Amino acid sequence: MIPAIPSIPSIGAAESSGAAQAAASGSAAGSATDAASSGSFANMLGQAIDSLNGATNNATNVSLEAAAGNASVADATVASTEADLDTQLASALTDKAVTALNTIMNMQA
Amino acid sequence: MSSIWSGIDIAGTGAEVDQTWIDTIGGNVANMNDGVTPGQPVYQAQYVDAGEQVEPPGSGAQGAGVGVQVDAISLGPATGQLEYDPTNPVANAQGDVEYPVVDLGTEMTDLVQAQTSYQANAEVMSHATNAYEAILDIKA
Repeated sequence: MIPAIPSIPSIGAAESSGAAQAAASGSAAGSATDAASSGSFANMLGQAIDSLNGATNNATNVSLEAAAGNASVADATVASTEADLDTQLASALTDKAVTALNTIMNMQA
Repeated sequence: MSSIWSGIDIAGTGAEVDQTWIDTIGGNVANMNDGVTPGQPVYQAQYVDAGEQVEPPGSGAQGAGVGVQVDAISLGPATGQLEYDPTNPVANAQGDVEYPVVDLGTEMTDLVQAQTSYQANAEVMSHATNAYEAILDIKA
C-alpha cells in the first residue's frame, strides 16, 4: 500500500480556506471574519489589502501636508516610496498565494 | 515612524535634520545684516545640535540605531559686534550699530556640508528602495 502523504501546513491552510469559502457561500460575507482568526487565505489577502490601503492613504495625506507646507519634501518622498513598496509587496504576496492555490486546484486525480 | 522599510525611514530622518540645518543657515544669512541700537536684543545665530535616535532597549531591535534627530537648536552670542555707522538711523549716541555675529564664510561652508549630507541621504533612500525592489522581484 502507498503510505499516507503527510499534511503540509500551507496546503492545510489552503484546504481550510476552501472549506471556509464553501461555508461562507451560504451566509455571504458573515463568516469571512470567522475565517480571519484561522490565518486563512482570505484573511491573509484581506490583511494585505488593508495594510496597502493604509499605506497609500498615509502617502496621500503626507503629500497633501507637504503641498500645504506642513510636512517636508523628505517626509512626502519617504511616504510615497514606502507606499510604492507596500503595493509591490502586497502584489507579490497575493501573486504567490494565488499561484499556490491554483497549483492545488489544478491537481489532477 | 517604524515600518518594515526601515532603511528608507532612517535616511528620511537624516534628510529631515539636513533640511533643518539648511533652514537655520538660511535664517542666519538672511538676518546677518539686522543692525540694532547697541543694548537692544540682537539676532542670535542658530545652530543645529543633531543626535542619534536609538530604539529603546527591549523593543526587539537590540538598541539598533533608527536614525538621527534634532536634539536642540543652539544659539550664537547674545551680544553682537559693534560697527561705527553714525548715519544709520538706529545708531546710538556714539555712532555705533550692533550687528549679529554671523560669519558668512562659515555659513557657506556649512551650507555645502548640509547640501552634501542631504544628497547622501537621498542616495541612501534611493539605493535602499532599489534593494527592497530587488527582493520583491524574486519570481517563483
